[in-house]
Amino acid sequence: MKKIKNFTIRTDLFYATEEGFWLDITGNIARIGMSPLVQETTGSFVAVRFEDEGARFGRGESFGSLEAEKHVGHLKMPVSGTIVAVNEKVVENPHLLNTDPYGQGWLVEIDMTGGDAGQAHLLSGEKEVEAWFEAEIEKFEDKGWLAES
Amino acid sequence: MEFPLPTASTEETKKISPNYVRLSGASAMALRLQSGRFSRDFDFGGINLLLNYDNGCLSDCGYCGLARTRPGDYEDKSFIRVDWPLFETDLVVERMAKYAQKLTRLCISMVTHGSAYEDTADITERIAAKIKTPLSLLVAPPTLNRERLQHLKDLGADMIGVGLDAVSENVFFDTRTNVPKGGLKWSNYWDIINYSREIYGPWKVNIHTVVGLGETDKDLIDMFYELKSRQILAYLFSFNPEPDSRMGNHPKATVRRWRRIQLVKHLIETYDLDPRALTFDEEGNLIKLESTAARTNKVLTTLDAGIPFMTNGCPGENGEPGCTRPYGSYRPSEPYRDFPFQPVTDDLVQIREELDLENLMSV
Repeated sequence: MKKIKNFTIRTDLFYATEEGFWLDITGNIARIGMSPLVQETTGSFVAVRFEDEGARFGRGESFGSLEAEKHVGHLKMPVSGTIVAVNEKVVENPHLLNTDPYGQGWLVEIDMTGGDAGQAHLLSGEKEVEAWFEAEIEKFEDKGWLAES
Repeated sequence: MEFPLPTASTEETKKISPNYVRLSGASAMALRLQSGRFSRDFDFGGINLLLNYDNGCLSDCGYCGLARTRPGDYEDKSFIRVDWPLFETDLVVERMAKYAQKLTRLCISMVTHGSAYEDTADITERIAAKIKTPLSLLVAPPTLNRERLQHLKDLGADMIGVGLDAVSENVFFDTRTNVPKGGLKWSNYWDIINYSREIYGPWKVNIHTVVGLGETDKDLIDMFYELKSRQILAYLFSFNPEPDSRMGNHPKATVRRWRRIQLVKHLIETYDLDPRALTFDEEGNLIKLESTAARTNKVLTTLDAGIPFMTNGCPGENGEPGCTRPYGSYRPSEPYRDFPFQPVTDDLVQIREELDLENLMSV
């Protein structure tokens, strides 16, 4: 865990920087969750919906949707894979995305077997993740999406 | 009706107005007091403050999230379906001063409470001392009289809003008077509307009118003509059921009805639509719009570039849309009921489908 400004970020995970997800990869299985910065700037979540287990998606395809008080959007798959588990707890209580984005607020688990092996775009490494996250904070501050302390 | 006053010890220990206020989520985002963003990017500068008391609003309107008998503590209650975070008033004023350049309209919403008038006056003074952005007050009529309305104007408020909501006396009685606790009076609301019109002047008073509380189309349209004749603004809202409120299971107005009301209101207010162009059935439903006037027909062709479907709200300093309440009457995942920005081409295609004008004009 690394504290960067007001955020606590895990630097031991992979990050899909375009989609704003973290990936915890073990073998061919990846658990996917939302970057703390994306959850913070999306606002208080009120609904999350996932496609069914067993459904297969290419990178960039929608595997569900989420709705916050002032925002709605698709969840776009950060790598190709088949959904093998969805987090029912977060469906029942979307606020877990806000309160525990690395823990109980995970989204889905996917099996990347047979995918396009397109994981080179994922960011990893403590220094690399830290630098990216700092730049992201600056970008989001410039957009006016982050509260001022 | 009498309302309890908070005790001194309550004021000292509770986070209540005037030293604390609630902000709409969008306002908190605009003032950078809360992180967040909108689904579609647009400029937003309409800041809405809501008075806060530990015992809440003492009215009990059937459709309102703040209703006295709605289950739950006041602090946890939503208003127009979303949370209103609580902040220190001075911090809010400080942020409004910091971001004054992008603010278009400020508004303090009162609730029915014994301290509401004094606290609104206090907060109005704090704002007017530091910010020039025009300030509206959405008032709670049971707490006011002519002198108080004049005093609030003297302190810096330039517009008054009255949440009449129900456009007929019958619907008002059913939803706001004949309630378990804290019933309101139609006559009291109209007294305050009339005083406000006298004191604040033409087009400086607005009446909130809600579509979907049980009124007919004719009730709504008659009200638009009446208010226009008195140079009072009508602001349109779409009923959005508040979970656990007494009307929590009451259906919303259909999108088709809502869009037609928006369009006809625009034709009345902007193009003096002849009332004879409108035909209603025995139950008061609008069944035909027959227009022979060229300028009205042009609107029906162009939809006036989407302006009829934008949020009704108090204007900014130069007449631009000031209060736009994004996602106030619908969830982000639902179609925009009122647009906080000018609709674009794709929006207009959808609006035209929703209006089903051919059907309305060919009956």
